[in-house]
Amino acid sequence: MQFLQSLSAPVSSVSLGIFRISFGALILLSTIRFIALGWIEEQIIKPKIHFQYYGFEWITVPSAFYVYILYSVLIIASFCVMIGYKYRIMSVLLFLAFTYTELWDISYYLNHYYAVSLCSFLLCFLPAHCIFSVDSTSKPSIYQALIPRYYILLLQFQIAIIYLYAGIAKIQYDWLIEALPLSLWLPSHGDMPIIGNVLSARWTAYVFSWFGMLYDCTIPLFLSIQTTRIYAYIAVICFHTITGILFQIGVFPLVMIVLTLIFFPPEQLLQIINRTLTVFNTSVKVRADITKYTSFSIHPIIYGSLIAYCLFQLLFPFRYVLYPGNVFWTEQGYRFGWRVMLIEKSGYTQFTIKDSLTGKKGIIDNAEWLTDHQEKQMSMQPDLIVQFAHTLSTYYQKNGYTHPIITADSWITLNGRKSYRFIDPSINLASINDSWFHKEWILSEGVSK
Amino acid sequence: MKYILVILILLQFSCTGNAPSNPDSQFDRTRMLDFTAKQIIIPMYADVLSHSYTLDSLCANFMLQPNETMVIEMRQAWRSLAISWQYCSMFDFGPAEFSDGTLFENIGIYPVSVTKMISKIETKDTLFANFDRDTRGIYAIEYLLFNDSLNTYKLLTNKANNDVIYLKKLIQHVIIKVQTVHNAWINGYSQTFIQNTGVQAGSSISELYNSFVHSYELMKNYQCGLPFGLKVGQVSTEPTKTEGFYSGISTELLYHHNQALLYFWRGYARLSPLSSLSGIGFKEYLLSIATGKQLVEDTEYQWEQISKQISLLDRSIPLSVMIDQKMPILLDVFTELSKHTHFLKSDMSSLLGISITYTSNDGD
Repeated sequence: MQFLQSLSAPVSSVSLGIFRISFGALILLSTIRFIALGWIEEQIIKPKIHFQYYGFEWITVPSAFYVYILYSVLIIASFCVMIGYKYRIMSVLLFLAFTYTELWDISYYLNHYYAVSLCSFLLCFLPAHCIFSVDSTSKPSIYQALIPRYYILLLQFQIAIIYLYAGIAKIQYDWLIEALPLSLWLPSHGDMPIIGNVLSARWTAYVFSWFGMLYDCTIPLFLSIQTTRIYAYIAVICFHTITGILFQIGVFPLVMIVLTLIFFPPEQLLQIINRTLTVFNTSVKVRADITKYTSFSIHPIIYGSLIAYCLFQLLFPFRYVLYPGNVFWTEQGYRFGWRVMLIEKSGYTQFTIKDSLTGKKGIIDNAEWLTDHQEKQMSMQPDLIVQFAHTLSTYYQKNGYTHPIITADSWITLNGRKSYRFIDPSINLASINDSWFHKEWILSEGVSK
Repeated sequence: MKYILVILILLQFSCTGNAPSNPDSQFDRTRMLDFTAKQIIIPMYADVLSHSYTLDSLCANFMLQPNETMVIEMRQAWRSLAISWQYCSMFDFGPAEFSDGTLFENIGIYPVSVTKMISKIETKDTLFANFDRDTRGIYAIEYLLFNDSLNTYKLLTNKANNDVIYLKKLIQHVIIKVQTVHNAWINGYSQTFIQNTGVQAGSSISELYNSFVHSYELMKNYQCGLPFGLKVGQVSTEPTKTEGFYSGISTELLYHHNQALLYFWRGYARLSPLSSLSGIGFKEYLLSIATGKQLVEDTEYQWEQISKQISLLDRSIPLSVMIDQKMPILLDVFTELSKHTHFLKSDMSSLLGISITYTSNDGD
């Protein structure tokens, strides 16, 4: 009971309001960036085929016109969430539009897109427009200076999971003992002025590897402790800025710098904002309405849902332990597990199609079907290999290969090691249905030359 | 403070450890780019251009005084041009990217469409401002020069006929395109290229690497796979789709294309007056990486196998003839080429940390 009471204890809504504003701004900026870089054309419209998410095969890319409409919706929704206008509808729209666009092609899956989807999902249920919003100004009944504590805890939990699991994923031989893949990646920046030589040194990779692991594992804790918070946040900014400069990770550093704001207590956040605003000779004040809510209760359904959500977040990334083999090699249970910048992997897969009736045989030119990016991703992810084989099978059944057998000559190199065969070359991929079960036709690293 | 402490402790730990220093710290990408630009790419473009000029002036002479000797000379000049092109076609980036397609797409497409070419010759359409890329370039010139045997040679029958005019225009089109690229390289682009020393998408190393791998795949899939009938959807071999079908030098071209890729990988400057067998290329770059030696050995071994298989082919016999007579040997070439792909396409990019996409996108 005490635990429940502590969860529902009233806290200031300032953090939630600021989180909403920054989150909306972040999505707005990253959507505009996505469009400005021409990625709608490059990643969505140009590819001949798209790789679909398991269970979401019904989601297909609409015509270019509707793609642009959807991105316009995303811009409007993120802007409205930012200013807190029609928040209830707009937050749902933001979640749906963002997630829908992400579900178009799994070869573009990124952990930070998943993080954004989850946060926008949580925001659908939180009254983040209760403060600093158009809604709360125009309709005073929406205004709430206090909210139950679990609203904030839930977001903090989500961010903590991202860091913690990213840290746990680094506790492995290659990362800590061999400093891989950083010892491959960092020297390639040896041409950078001043720090180039340092980045090329082997010990730098070790420092980065160990520091990265320790940072990820401990940062949620240091962000939660009052005395260390500000230093931890400076570390957050430095860490993500450095990784942002060194690696091609787009808006990911900014996403984390923004999301971690939720760890700040409202007074401290207000203080920081007001200090900044003094430059403009203005300040933000929070109206108190303690009389309105002095305590909150958690409905059992909400409580149950919270537990279910948190359990899912805690357990789902660990599903990889149910599969045999090295998760970095097989990628079974790899996604949605916060494995960020963890491995250097590359592959090459050549498909051969044979008609079992006529014996007619032919080799597929991947470039005729896939973009460079899609081919790269497909080559190292077994479910995408199967999916592509199915696409080929469906097409060629109507085009001269009525009984297609599709095999793959597939090679993978992991963390700069020698390439090994990835897929059993004798298996007919057209006859395999993707599922949650272990893919027995994946060969272990080093087994077959 | 805690983090600084952690860093200091780790620094201490790692500095006193026995970890070997990464040889990459000694690798100078600027030197590689400088060598590649000045000793390989620019001389190669100059060479293609010089052979094009030769062909152009021979064609001009031929137009004044058509005779068999001139035809023989033009054919010889074309052979030299096509061989030179094998060493140049892999640098299809930077200034080679025109608004209407790359240099390769403009002058290197084969097989040509005879029907479309005949139609263009008849209508005197020599603007080349269209996407019929199979009606122009080096292999369109080849068709006009080699299509007929000497004694029935159409070009000789009427010096003013449309064929000759089209031929001259084709040669000039090649010259304009190559000249534009060559000029860009010598007038500033080489500097931009040398200074862009990163490995991310759009960097010079990434452009070089991607173009190199693309060229390798063209050799495997289009110089060999397609005419050998190995591509999906083909019902039989297609000897007319070999590169250099009309001139009969397809085997020669395959040999040189493989040599070109191998030379480049090893960092050999074929035309450099400084040295023919020393330089700096991907091989040296890989050797500078702690774990690169194994890949270099594997790559060299496989390249030996490919070269061995190609050397079994009589270069005076065209692939189109061998397709009918010696298919098993050709299949062996293709098999060896296929075995090699992953060394170049995935292992190398992974080890060097090169972005293998031409366009940027986020990662995590």
